[in-house]
Amino acid sequence: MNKFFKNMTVKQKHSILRMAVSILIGLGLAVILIVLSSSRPKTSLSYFFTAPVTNVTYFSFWMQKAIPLIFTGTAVCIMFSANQFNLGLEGAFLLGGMAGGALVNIYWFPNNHIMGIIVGCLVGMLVGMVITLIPALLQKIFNASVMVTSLMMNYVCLWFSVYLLFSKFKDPKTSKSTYSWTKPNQEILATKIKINGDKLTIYYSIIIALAVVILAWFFLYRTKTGFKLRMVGVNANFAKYVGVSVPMVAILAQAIGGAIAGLGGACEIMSLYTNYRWVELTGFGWDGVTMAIFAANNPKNVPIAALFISYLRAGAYVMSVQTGIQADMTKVVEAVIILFLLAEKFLSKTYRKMVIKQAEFERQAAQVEAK
Amino acid sequence: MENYLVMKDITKVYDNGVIANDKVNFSARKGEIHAICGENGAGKTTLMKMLFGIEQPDEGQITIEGKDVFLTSPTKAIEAGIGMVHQHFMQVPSLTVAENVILGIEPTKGLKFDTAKAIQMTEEVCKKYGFNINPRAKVQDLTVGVKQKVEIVKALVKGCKILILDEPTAVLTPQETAELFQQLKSLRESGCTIIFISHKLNEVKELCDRVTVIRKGKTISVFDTAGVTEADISRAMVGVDVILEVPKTPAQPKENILVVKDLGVYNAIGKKVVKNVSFSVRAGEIVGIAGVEGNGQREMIDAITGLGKYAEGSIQLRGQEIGEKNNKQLRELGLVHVPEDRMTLGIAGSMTIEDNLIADKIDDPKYTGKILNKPKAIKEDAKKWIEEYKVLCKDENQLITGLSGGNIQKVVVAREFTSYNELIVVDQPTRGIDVGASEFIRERLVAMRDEGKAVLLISADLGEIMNLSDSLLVMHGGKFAGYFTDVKSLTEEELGFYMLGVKHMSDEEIGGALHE
Repeated sequence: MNKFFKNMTVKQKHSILRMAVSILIGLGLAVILIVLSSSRPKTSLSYFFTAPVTNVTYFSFWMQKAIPLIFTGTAVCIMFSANQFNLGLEGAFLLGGMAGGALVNIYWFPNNHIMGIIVGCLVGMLVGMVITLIPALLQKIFNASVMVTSLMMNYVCLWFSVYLLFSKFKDPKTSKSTYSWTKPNQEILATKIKINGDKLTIYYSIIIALAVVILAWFFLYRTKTGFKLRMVGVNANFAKYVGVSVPMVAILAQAIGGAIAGLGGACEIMSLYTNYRWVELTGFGWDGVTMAIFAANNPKNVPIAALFISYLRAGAYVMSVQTGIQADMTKVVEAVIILFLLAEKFLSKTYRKMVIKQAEFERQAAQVEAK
Repeated sequence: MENYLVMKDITKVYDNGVIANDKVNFSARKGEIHAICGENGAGKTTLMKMLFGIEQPDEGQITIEGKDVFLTSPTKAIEAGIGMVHQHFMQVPSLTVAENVILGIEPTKGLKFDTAKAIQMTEEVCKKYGFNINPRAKVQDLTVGVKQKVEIVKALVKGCKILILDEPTAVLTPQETAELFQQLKSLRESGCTIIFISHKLNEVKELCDRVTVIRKGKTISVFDTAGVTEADISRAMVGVDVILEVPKTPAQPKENILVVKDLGVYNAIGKKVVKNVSFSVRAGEIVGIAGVEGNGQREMIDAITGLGKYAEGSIQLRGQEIGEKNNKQLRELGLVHVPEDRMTLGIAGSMTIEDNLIADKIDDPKYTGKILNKPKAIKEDAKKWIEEYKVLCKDENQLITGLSGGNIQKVVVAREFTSYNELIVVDQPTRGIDVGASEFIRERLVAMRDEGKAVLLISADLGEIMNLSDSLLVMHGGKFAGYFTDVKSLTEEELGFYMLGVKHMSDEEIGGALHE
């Protein structure tokens, strides 16, 4: 552990410290909120903090919550690494889910399981890519702010998908008003095992999610295109000066981000549900931004960030079911943590102290060496 | 006469270790126009930023009317009676003149903005100081000259006693300049202290009462303008510091690498700044370009390095017109470039030294396979270059922003010199860096020349440019004023005359710069 810290710069050490303090403040706030609003604070707190690791059903729930965050988090990491603030991942996730996850499996492969999954993933990626590419190209051709157009794109996607669902493939026979025709495949992507009466569900899409993380990391840090992409993100003028085609790289980053989000949507629909049923934005696109902030835009940190946030959400959900406290409380906690993480001057005095201490330390080390 | 404003022993060190001001002393009297002269990068803008509260000095004290003031923000500075007219106007184009003028001190009637009062306030100031501006006109419809007046009125309306003008004439026509000078003189009559930053010495001589010369972050001298000539000021401004001469043999130039013919460049506001110049750079020689900043060098170099466009004439790199080529294609033709502004163009700040060294070579099959990069090969060469170019650092994984200015520049130079190159463009290669690093970079440049590379050197450091150049071009007013092939026998004083446009060679003599 000591060695681990020794090789870090002051800045890295400080950012870890800041992250830890931010999380503690957030969790502290959670405890206060729970104690204030619960009639049985002890039980509530124990559900909140331990539920996902004490019961296999809740554990499955934790994993299920983490998977979409891993997808969208990785997608945002790639786009933010290139400094492209395309926020169209909500739409990409949603339509990727509808096209790849539902339509492909309902209409093209109603019986063929494996092909349905593979083609579903590919179609999801393609659709997601198109969704983020539209604002990207509008920016390139007409110089329209990508942030604005991508945000609006999300609502275009939502209402387009709602229209399709209700006019084309809603199941008129079901009592649930928003369910589509039944699709195959859900049970082969999620295996249920009974352990002592509790149900453990294994979602195989986590394998795809982790594969995406690994590929994304290799792409960003071990390929020349990824290197150029990061250069564009750090200093676009510099990238142009050393001969990188900045607009192409910017568009590529957004295309990859959209594809990953679309794939995530397809996996979500395929492994969680037997029908398509989304009639509002899933929120996973925004969550992707949160994940990327936690992960400092590095895909390898995304799974940890996703597991952390989904743990809070799973715990809060269980607590709300068991003791009736609003699960939305975690939103407040998340917001507080992000606020402190993004507040640049937070703990800046400590940072100066650390810098001075480090400089002092190095000077002494130099003196010792000189002797 | 009493000093109204005193800035004593002002020191400012920027985060990257560059000492912009080193115990600078400056003082101005009430009712005088005081010029600050110095090359770009000499520290005059930094000094003025501290006076206007944009930056804070690390050491030193500012005193106004004998009272110590602490200018921690522009608001504080305005309260202390200081106004600044920036080189780039700080105005809202879609608002009217009156609205711009009272921005920050808006008169209100109840909760509403009082337009009538705003117009009245503007008119009052205009009348008092003799400005002819329509307060109801929209700023976007005004000419540059009037916009500048608005900027001055903006400062006056807030009751400023000290007015800073940062190169106010750079954007003006001669007629507008004359009008501005008239108004500044009448402001002086009314007791206002005016600080006038410029490197146009004829203007300084015409307008100002005194002049403070700053060089390399230090106050060099203070003159009464009446008692000195332009040449005296220029000598103080560009004065040669003692540098160790880099030994070099006479150049043996070969074929043309870069041929510039009849090049004309317009700047962003449509003013022609490079006026049809021609010259060439041959393999195995260093061609130097001297000149006071702002005489077209910047735009010319941008055009040659593919960072800016050019409207007229041609630039040929090894026989190929560069007009439509992107930076990658130019680099493939053998152009490398050490840019003037290393922090914003020369490096990717939050990346490692290794990343910065390899940035332009990443497509080379030596460093990248079909899919994955070859981290070992990259690391090996990065380490080699760090050693070869004597970059002082912990290791190649250190972030480049953690290095000192001199070492950052060594990294930039290392990257550019180790890439495929035929033409090396170096722009202010040693500005703001320590002596050791400067020495090293100069030696490298000569070594590259001896290897048969063509080198185009732009530098404000006269000692450097006279030492390194095999032939020397002097730029003034967008044209070449002189061409010297025998740089050794040239004196700084002589060079200064050409830089300031006092002397001018004939077109035939300058035509010699283009080798056919």
